[in-house]
Amino acid sequence: MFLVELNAVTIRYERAGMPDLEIIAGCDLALAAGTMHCLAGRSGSGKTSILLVAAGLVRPTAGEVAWSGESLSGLRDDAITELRRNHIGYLDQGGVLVSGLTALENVLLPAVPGRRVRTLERRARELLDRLGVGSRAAHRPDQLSVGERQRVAFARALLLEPPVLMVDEPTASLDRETADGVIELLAGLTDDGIAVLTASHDEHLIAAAGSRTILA
Amino acid sequence: MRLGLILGEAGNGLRRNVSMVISVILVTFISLTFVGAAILLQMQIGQMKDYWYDRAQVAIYMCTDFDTTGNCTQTEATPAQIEAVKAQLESATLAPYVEKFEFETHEQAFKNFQTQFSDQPIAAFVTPDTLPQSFRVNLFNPNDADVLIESLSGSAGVQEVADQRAYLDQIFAVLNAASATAIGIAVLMLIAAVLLIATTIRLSAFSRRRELGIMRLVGASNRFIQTPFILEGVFASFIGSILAGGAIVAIVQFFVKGVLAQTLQTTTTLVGLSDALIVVPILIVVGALLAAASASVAISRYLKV
Repeated sequence: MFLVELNAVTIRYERAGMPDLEIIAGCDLALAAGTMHCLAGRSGSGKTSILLVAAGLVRPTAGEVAWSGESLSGLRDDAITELRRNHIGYLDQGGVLVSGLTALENVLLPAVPGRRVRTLERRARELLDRLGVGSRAAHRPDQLSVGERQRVAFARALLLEPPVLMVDEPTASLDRETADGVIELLAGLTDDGIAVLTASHDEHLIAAAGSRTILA
Repeated sequence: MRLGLILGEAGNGLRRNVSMVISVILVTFISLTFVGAAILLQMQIGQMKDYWYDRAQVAIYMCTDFDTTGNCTQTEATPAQIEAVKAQLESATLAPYVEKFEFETHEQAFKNFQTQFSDQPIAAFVTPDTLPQSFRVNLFNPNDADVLIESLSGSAGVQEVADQRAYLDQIFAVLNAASATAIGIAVLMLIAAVLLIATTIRLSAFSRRRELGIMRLVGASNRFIQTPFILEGVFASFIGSILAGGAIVAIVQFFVKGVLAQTLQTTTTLVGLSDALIVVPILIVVGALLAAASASVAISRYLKV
């Protein structure tokens, strides 16, 4: 069974006074555990839109999204949110952190809705250590470098041990060396059995992925 | 952390938008004060109706030498005509409606007139014979006044059968108009308050849209994200409604019980503090509900990633 499936997904946005904007039509995608799939294409080709639809954050115009065989069609937003919390870790472009909170508190954010902050604090610290930013746990985002912020955002996405990680342009604003470090990190996660769906125009990352969808 | 985080977020929002929050408080305060005043006025009208309708009499004015209206021909009602009216009031037809009645002579009418208009020049020109004699009738049910009017208007020597409630209805019409005006102003102000709350919350959400996006991504439910914003609106409007409640209590204490009661020399028919204390919780609930509804509508568009 695939952890994430897109069946004939079409994404079309209505625009006031202009013709509808079609991002993609009839897209099929299947993501198995321990694999990495890359949505490749230039900026504006709709990579992020597909990620958002695959993550259940935006409903497709047509077609179906399923997680571990369960279709999201017909589910209410609250139910999808509940499922996503434990199924998908999402890392947005740039790894945005909440400015008023420390690195550790940012990592613990996914635990807040489920009231699991205390029980997950140790795991949060371990994740920060594993990603090489353990010493920065008490620092606020404005005291961290771009690369450090991204690692904290990675830790946040991994906190609830989701089987799927969705990562939007993880190497876009990084120098080559740091970017290759991130690619290595993603490859390491697939070795741990996590399914990674990423969107990128970075050739190194596209090459590192086991499968890819090329968007025009 | 959950409750603390939500309250902390609400507090941050309030701090970031101080001037907007103050305007929400003021608009809610003024609009709810009008709502409260309208409710008090309705209570006042209700109490006055109860009080005065019970005391309202039907007056049967007899003819004087000067009257040409009704059945009068510039001739004073004769004792026989007065007796006939009295007999009718005591007859089997009318007696069941009549609780009691008394007869007011020229002299008594003159005395009452002098007392009532003692400060005014007209008192010097009126003589007893110009004021009509009358029967003052109290009915078991004041709504039966029409029965008396129909039975007695045509009787000889009767100038007019007047239901005093007709005079009261004019006063109540004025009070009702005042109440309707207050409600009208209140509705307009409440619309302004709702729009202002929505704008405030939108600004607040806009300034935190990145954080809202993160919370959606990490699996926070819409309700979890909405709550601080709704609390923010409810808090501002709560302060406004408390101020409005204070204003209503102050109006009753200093204006109604102070100025009005002194001027009217009566306290039995005026609204009191107990009435004001019924109005205050109504204002608080109305304020909170409006704010919560308006804030939740305003925030919903920011819940999309």
